[in-house]
Amino acid sequence: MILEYFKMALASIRGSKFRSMLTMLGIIIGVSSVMIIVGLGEGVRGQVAQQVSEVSESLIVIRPGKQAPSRPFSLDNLRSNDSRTGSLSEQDWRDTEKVEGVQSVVPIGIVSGVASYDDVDYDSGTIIATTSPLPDLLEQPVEFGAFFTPEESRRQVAVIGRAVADDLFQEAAPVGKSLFVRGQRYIVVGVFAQQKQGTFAVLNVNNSIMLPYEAARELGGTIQLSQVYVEAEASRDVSSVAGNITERLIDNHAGQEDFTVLEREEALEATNETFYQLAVFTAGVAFISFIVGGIGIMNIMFATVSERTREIGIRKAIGATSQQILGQFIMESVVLSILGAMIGVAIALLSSVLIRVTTDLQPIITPRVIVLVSVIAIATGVTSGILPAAKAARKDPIESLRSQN
Amino acid sequence: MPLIEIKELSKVYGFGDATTIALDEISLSINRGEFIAIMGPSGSGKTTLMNILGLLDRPTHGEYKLSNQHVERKTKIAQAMIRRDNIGFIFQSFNLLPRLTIIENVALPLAYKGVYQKRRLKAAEVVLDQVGLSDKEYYYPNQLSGGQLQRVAIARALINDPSIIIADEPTGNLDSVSARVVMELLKEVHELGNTVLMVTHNPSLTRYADRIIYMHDGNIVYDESTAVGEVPKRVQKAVEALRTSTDDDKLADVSAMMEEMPEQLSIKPVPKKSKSKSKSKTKVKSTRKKGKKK
Ligand SMILES: Nc1ncnc2c1ncn2[C@@H]1O[C@H](COP(=O)(O)OP(=O)(O)OP(=O)(O)O)[C@@H](O)[C@H]1O
Ligand SMILES: [Mg+2]
Repeated sequence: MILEYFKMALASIRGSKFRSMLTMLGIIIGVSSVMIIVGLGEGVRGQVAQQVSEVSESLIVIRPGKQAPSRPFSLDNLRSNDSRTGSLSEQDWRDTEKVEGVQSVVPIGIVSGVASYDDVDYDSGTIIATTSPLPDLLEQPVEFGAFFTPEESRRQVAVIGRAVADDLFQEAAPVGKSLFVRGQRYIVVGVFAQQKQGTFAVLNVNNSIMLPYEAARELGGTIQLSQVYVEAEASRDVSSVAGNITERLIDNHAGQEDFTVLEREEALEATNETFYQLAVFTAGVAFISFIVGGIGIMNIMFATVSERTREIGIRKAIGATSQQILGQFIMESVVLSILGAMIGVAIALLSSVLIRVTTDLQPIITPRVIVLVSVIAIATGVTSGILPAAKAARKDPIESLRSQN
Repeated sequence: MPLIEIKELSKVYGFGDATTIALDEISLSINRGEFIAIMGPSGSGKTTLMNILGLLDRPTHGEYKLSNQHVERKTKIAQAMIRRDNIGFIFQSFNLLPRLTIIENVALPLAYKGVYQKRRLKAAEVVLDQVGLSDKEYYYPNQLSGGQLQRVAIARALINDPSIIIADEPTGNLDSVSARVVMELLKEVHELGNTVLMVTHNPSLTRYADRIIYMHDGNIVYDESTAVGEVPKRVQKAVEALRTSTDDDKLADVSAMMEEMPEQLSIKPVPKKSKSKSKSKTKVKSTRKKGKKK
């Protein structure tokens, strides 16, 4: 009998294509929008998770200012060099080196000033004073030349990012050329490889000009520590090392925790936290759109039922039971919602391809999402079809036969 | 044993001052194979009686036994199934589903019985052939004439091989020629052994029946078996006697048309001629008590 209902449903859907389309609209919009939102979320989550996991597990980042632990995570938040209230001192860096379990410490100091080459200023770069373990810590290879060694810490050398090489020197490997910072001459000894786009980078390497810390200090002026990277000893538990650092620095800061010690796991947690919130939001959107879609189906099914009063009367007169009428009308909303879900999925898949082609975003629509959203859509359709179908089933055959519709 | 047996059956609509007694303690028994014409002025309760006999409606009081079984208090599902298996309806306004093809319309009762589509359509082909519409199987109802539509409706009523055919004014919407074709077809159906209950306002059509029941104000005022092919004198008399108004000339028109109707009609599946010549020369002005409300 179910097959029979199915055929009848198809027949009546075919018989009124426009109205059927209208009925499906809510479901189509619900399914496609929810799938696109979820797909975008999944895509960004995948990108971020991948970037986070690329960072060495033993990396700890100390930044000035207190970051609320549940502060929404984003690439920009981590990448930005803006210091919140509070600051890190050279003393903090030195003391961190003494903390148990710390393998190496690399400061990132912002040097005020502009670099120039051939009397051309380079405004869009950052001059950073740092120490030799940096490339290892950031897993950022040097493409030409080499990073400065501990022995070179007082020499006037520089390692530049890809963008600096291209924009300031206008050549791929300006190793051996020199640039000027505040009248001092620095010889380029290395050029970084292009930093991977969108990496979980706490530092933009591409437009950086890196000087040895000691040499930069000789420039005079202040060096502001924007962050300090710590590598924990491989055998140590990163969290406990981070805890030790925190304790030590609180002492330095007169008991105030006006800095943030971040480990990779925390970054991951923050990511998950953010995506949990995103998921809740998405579920809310989905819920609302399906309610709207369901009301749409119910509305039009009610209209359909009154429009087809006479048909119902005829069917009953020739022997359809109320249950059969019920089954038939429910099947109609089932078929409509399945069709709607299918069209919605198709639209979502098409849109995701379009989004991939036209933007940087990489929406991911997994089969799981397709199944889940379709099931919800169909459940919505069936639920909304029940009341109108019950109304149809209850109709009195004689009254219905008398009806003009 | 009668096929249908009703005892003191009443149908009351409304309550208080607005009460209408549509059927007033009617008793009636109908045997298998009878062709009954039911006449009576508008509002006399003919449709009400047909609906109750067809299990579309329930009586307020009284008994209804179909094939010796009480059916008046059965559940709606049970009644629907009896309706499906035992009763074929033919309506004045055809009542075909506009979005289904002719053959699908005819096959529809079998769908609700759970017969597979292939067998269903095959059965529909057979009955459509019986009513002479094999060539119209895949047409839609709006592509057929009224007379053809009513033949489709007859085919649909026949498909379940029902024990009773209930036809409420089957020729009411038809011109005289189509009406005649339909009546000849009903006659065929009757001759095949079916029980036919037909409501009509046209006295001349009673010649197809072998029993005539005349209703008035919810009562059966006249019930007589006649030879098929005759319009009994008493029907004419009763009609005259009960005439209460002359505002509706429709019946007179029908009668006039019946006179002009060609004597011989070529009816495809029914090659037989009518058993006797039409005796419907009576000019019945009107049997209408009051304007028929639609
Ligand atoms: N649903 C209803 N509610 C109230 N009264 C009704 C209803 N159906 C029928 N009646 C009344 O019952 C009486 C019998 O109606 P019925 O339809 O059986 O007449 P009929 O003999 O078929 O008339 P016609 O020749 O015009 O078809 C009428 O007085 C009618 O007004
Ligand atoms: Mg009537």
